[in-house]
Amino acid sequence: MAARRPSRPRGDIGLGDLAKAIVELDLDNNHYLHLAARCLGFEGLAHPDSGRPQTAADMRMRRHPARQTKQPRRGRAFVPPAPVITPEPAGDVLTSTLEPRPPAAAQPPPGWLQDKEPAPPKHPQIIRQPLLLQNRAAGVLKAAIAVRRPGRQLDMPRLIDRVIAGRPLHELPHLPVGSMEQGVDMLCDYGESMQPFYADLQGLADSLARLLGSSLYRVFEYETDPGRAFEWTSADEPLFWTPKAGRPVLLATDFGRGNPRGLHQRLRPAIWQAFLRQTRQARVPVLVCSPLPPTSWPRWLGRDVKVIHWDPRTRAGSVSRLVGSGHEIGR
Amino acid sequence: MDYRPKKFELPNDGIHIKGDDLDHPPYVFTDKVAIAVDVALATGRPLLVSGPPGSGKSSLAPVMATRLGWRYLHEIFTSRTRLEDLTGDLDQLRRLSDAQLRDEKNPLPERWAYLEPGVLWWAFDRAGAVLRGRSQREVDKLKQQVGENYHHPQDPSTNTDVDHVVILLDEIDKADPDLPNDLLEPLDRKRFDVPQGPPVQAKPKQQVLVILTTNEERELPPAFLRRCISLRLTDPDRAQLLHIAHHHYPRGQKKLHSDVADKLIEQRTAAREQDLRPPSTSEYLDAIEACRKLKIQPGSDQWALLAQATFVKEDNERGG
Repeated sequence: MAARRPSRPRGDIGLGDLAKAIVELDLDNNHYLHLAARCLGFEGLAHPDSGRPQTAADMRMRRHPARQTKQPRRGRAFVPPAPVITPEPAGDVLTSTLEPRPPAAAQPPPGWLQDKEPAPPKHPQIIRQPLLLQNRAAGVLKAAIAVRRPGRQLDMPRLIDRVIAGRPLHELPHLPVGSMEQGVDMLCDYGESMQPFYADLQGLADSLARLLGSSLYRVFEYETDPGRAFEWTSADEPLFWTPKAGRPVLLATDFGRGNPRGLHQRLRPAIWQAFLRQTRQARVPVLVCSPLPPTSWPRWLGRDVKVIHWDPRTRAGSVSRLVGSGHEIGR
Repeated sequence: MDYRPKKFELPNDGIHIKGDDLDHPPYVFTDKVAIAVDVALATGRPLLVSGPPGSGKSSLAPVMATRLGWRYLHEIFTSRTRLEDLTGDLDQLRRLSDAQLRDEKNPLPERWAYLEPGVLWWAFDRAGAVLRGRSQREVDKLKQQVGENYHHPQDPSTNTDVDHVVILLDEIDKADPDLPNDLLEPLDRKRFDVPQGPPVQAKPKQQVLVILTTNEERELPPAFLRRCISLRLTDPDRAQLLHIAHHHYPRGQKKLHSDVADKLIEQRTAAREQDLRPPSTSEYLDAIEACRKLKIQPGSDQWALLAQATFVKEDNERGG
């Protein structure tokens, strides 16, 4: 039997498809023409009611408008304020009394206020480089949050061992692969020292939304204690984070290291250990993203805590080397 | 509906009533839907259907199979769906089990005997799928060899007398993010290679209508989107709801249908304002059915309770 010649790849939808549709469907009505062109991703074929036509590029970009992602609300963590204790006044500290002076006489406005020349041009906005480049975000995040599960490839050595040992096979052993089906909980440190990175926190949440979809990720915020992270509900009430078994936690924090030593906003070992205990009991793997370099990471974090340097130079490969084929979910 | 499709037939009112072979509720076509399907048939491109839950995304494919009189195949995507599930893969477990039972008198069949065709294989080359890509002579020889132990591949198609096919690939946004890109070549060229198996290619004159659905929970790759016809379904408006109700219950009370429709639209608006899942057409029909059987009139106390249970699922939604 003669082999069939493989068909030519067609590539993206283009004018050829539009032409086919126009001719084969005999589209002579403007309204139908507009509908057909629109579902192909074209615009510019005038529709009586569409107003100013838009470019095809605009239409392609708007074909799937970005869904409204969850917006982590920036604000102070919900911690009851400590009572303020004011010191007793030390007594009179002024050596002389203050005498009120009359207000200064009104001056005529300066001449430059009358100047109607246009304001000088603004300086071009300095583009800030994000910590996670958009073209790398998907790969880095996949490597960071994937959970290990049996893949498609057989684990031949294990399989052969079982056959040789004569043990019955109830299922085939497979090599593990990373999967994102568990989703992720993102805990964002909105402490004061993280202020330079607030935009990156938002960017990270947006990247997770694009990668996972709205049902597979949750975003919580905290200031000093990740174990007290919360999200705001539609009723404007805080809903505290509780670890969900099997769902990895992505912690975006500088460990409070941007704050001066001794300040309570720096993450303390006791708080960190309590948080780790909480996640271990729930069998929840934790991965930390820190915008500070490794030399600034606390030494008492623990050997089994995985930390990645949240930096534009971070690549999926380095994260994969750290995490492996995915987080192990304990049974 | 004013548009008359060129590639398939529709009643003048655009409503598809239950077919004989496929048991589906009435489907209301709009100009937009009919044109999108026509364009997909004319260009041979896959049709990507998006829209809110209950808007009729998954129902369109079996309806089109009935209207066209073509075979129908479907696959629902999960996070574990791989390309091999759609094209074909070796049943390793069965092969290993047979290996443990075979002896010199009954040797193990060749590897190809364990190929399990996927929906795309059945769609593009049904005859080849039945024979697992081998010749009839080889299959007959194998049957003689293994006797009643021969494992026939199960054809999931309906209406197997026809070559042309409608394929539904449902909820593609739930699949692994790499899968849409893996599908580019099979859907584009109607061709793929089965892992450890033969190449599969659709005949040049075979027509294949691929309908994919997405709940838009995840972004699909731009390269994939650029090769698909887009159709976004919207919630049916009041007139369409009444149309649907009338076709489901031709002898039903019009007042009941319109009152329930008004209630659904009101609840739909409120749900959207609160960022909750709005009630769908299925729930509209459920409510009418319940009112009919229980003789409940809209506006009564019983109706207030029914509306809460049927339309607003606030606590369930929050619980995820």
